[in-house]
Amino acid sequence: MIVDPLGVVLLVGVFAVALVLRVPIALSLALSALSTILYMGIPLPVVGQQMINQLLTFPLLAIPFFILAGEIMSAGGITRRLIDLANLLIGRLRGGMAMLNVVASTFFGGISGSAVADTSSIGSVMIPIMKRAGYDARFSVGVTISSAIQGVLIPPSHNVIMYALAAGSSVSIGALFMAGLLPGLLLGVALLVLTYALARWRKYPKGERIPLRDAPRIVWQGLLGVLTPVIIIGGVISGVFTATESSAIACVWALLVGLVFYRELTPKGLIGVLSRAMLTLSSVLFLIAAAGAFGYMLTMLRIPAALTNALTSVSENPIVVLLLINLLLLALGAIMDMAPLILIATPILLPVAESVGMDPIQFGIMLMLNLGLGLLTPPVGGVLFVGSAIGRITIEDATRGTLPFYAPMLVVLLGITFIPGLTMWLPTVMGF
Amino acid sequence: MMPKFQAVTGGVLRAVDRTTDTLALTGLAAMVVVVSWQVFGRFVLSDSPPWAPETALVLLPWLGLLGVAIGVREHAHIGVTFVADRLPRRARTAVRWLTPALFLVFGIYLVVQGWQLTLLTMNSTLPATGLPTAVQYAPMPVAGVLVCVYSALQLLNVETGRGALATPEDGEEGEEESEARDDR
Amino acid sequence: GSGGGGDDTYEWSLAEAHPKDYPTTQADIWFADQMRERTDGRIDIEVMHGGQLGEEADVLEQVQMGAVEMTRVSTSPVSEVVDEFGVFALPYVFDDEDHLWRFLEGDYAQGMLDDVRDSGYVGLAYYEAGARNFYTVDEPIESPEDLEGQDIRVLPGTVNVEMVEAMGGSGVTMDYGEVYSSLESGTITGAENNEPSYVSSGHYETAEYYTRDAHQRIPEILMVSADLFDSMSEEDQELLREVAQESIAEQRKLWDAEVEESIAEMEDSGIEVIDVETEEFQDATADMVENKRSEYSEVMDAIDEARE
Ligand code: NA
Ligand code: NA
Repeated sequence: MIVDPLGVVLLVGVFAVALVLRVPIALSLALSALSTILYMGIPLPVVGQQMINQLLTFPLLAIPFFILAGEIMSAGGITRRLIDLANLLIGRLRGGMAMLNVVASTFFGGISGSAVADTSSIGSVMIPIMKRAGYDARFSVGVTISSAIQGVLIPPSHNVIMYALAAGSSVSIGALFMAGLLPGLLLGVALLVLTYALARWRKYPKGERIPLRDAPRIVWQGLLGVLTPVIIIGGVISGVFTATESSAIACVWALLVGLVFYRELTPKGLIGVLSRAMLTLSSVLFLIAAAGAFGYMLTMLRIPAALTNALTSVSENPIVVLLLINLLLLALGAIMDMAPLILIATPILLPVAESVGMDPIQFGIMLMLNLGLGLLTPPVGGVLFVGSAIGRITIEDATRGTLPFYAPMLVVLLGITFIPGLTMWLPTVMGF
Repeated sequence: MMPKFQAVTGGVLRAVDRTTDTLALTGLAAMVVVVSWQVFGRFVLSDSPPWAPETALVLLPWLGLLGVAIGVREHAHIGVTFVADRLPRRARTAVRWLTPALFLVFGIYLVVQGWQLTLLTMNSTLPATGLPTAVQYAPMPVAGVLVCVYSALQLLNVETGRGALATPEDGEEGEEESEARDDR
Repeated sequence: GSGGGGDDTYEWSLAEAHPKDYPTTQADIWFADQMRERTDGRIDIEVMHGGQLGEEADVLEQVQMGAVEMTRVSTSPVSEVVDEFGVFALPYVFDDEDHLWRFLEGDYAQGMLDDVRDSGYVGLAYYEAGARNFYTVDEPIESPEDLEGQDIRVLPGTVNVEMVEAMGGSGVTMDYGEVYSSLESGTITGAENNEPSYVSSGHYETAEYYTRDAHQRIPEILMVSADLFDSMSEEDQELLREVAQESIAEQRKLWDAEVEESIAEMEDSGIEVIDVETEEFQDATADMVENKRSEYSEVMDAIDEARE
């Protein structure tokens, strides 16, 4: 296995320079992949082919659909009624909306298993709500994308299935699902605690007191809106549609409510809705496609494999080794997408982790949270991209808004790494 | 530029914008319809149309690549402003031209290599619809032309962005509406 | 070098969609090791397993463009490039594994390895991928009648949907990543695959009835880029073909062991393995296969000739 140093310098260098010179991130990724492929003598169309193939995955459909559903709910009056309802129920609690955001992610992450879908769905509804309730955009995006990471831990998660396949038949998917549940819920609780603390400290808004006589009307009117998540989650759990398909159904339901029940949507308004969704999507899809081409070049240059191989020669102390594994995964996660990293890192790092006594189940969950964190760590991260596009803020601002949330996430990560019981207890009890 | 010339090119550009945006919005709506039909077919009719998932998937690269072009026109592609904003004034001016220039290069790449890719995949098919695989790659040259047009215009200091998408309904006054983006 | 014939050195990637410990991947690795050994490291092939370079259809294009040198893929995506390979998707065209391999080793199928050349590939060897069997959540499939009311996830492609429909069930195409949770939630009531994939995908944890009806035998194929192959010395070409042919025995041995191991694991997990008479299933699909016969007449004749 040979790493071409000049190729690495070119790939990372062109990207970094372009980024600094204010070239859009997606274009910087695409151009650095192009310059590297030119240098390596690989046929040029491959970069485009990889961009397109990155978009040719069915679960990715959840992104356009949930973003569209959010716009429909907004224009059709669902969002406004949901705000009124939420205000009625938790408005007097400081930071209530932000905490509602975290809890919604726990439930939705549970069914979708995808942090990006979670950000698209919860974000398109909650970020506008929070902004209008007086939260700053940075914090709104930060809390949304951090809590979306629960989705990769709470079962079912398709990333966990991918890990199980990469790890080999000795690792049971059922056991992995059980193992992810406790850390996932713990992460939710940790995020809630921090959100509440931040809300007190930064004096985030309380909703105004609502006269009690308005309550029945608000509850009644909000009911159809509340049915949206009920239909999505209920439909997936009962098997009517899959998690990805639920995003299209969310659009249909929101449309029905907006056109027929609330009658706030007009055909002309609908074109505006599509158009706003498309504007958000135009940046998101390019980013995802270009990140795919960039990741392909990383794989072609054997960078992840070389780094992981280098790691294995550093130390034999279990604590040092496990910390190094975490650092390495966080670093790789910053520049590469989750799925290819699972495939590349598992066969190399799992034996290392096992050699210092870690169970493959525990390692899998540790890997999930590390790479999940990578999804919101700049410069390359699907959740970060979608979150900042929906919140209409820059990547820097989204990152700044996310910064405080790293603390609880890193605490849970350390917990997963050094307390085997956190992951292994539930699968053991369940008899796996 | 002469006013008449400007009027003609303005008309052509508006037609290009409208075609692009109508295609993108129709594609987005069609995807929702197709996937909903897939659910309806399987759950209600107990007849799962194999063409449905494939069709929805074919539309995604079209949406993505048309989005690249629309994003160039609307300056929707996110960059990192942190460092560039702290550069001296002259450097900042130079940097302003860099992005459209690089988009022009990328647009040419999309046209040339995207066309190659389309030709290469003309003879293979997609399993469910039997369409040529080339339909997945054809958005590259198509969007490439648009990226070239929009970035070249920006290099000529002509802005065609309207802060929103051009839709059939926004009529002639659409050009002036630049605040439509955050009108909620 | 002393081994092999030419002097050119090569560093290749072999794209493989299966995980590292899968028998087919292990055979790729055996092939790569042999090539390295017999050329004193002059031809150095790295197996990029687990779909690192993309899914099979994606990788096929990369080989065509010359970005990736070799790949191992199912003949199913190959049929989207060369129609004739679509014959393997037809149900029950082979009586059993022996029939399949008599055909694959025969002149006609060996000629098919060269038919992919026009599309930019040279086929080096066929690999075993077992028989595809149904598995269900609620009730066992013992005859085609039991498929009624079942929503079975099949491989993408209309022919697969038609096959399940001919047997009386409903065929569903769905992203592979969504199958596990869809079995759990009841979006689908079953799926189909060979024994090793049924176990390694974890689908056996939910779908506990496994019916060995062997409706399809879709072999896999090891391929190299045609441009690259043509640029090599004759000795190297010869060696490549030779080692690839030798790797077949290794692959089939590993495959059989894996199937046995999977069945043992299924029995340990309390999976009900149902061995059925395939005739009824075959009869149900006979018309469908007959209708397709005109599309594949030559290759079907060759398949019939390979019957004992
Ligand atoms: Na989940
Ligand atoms: Na990242």
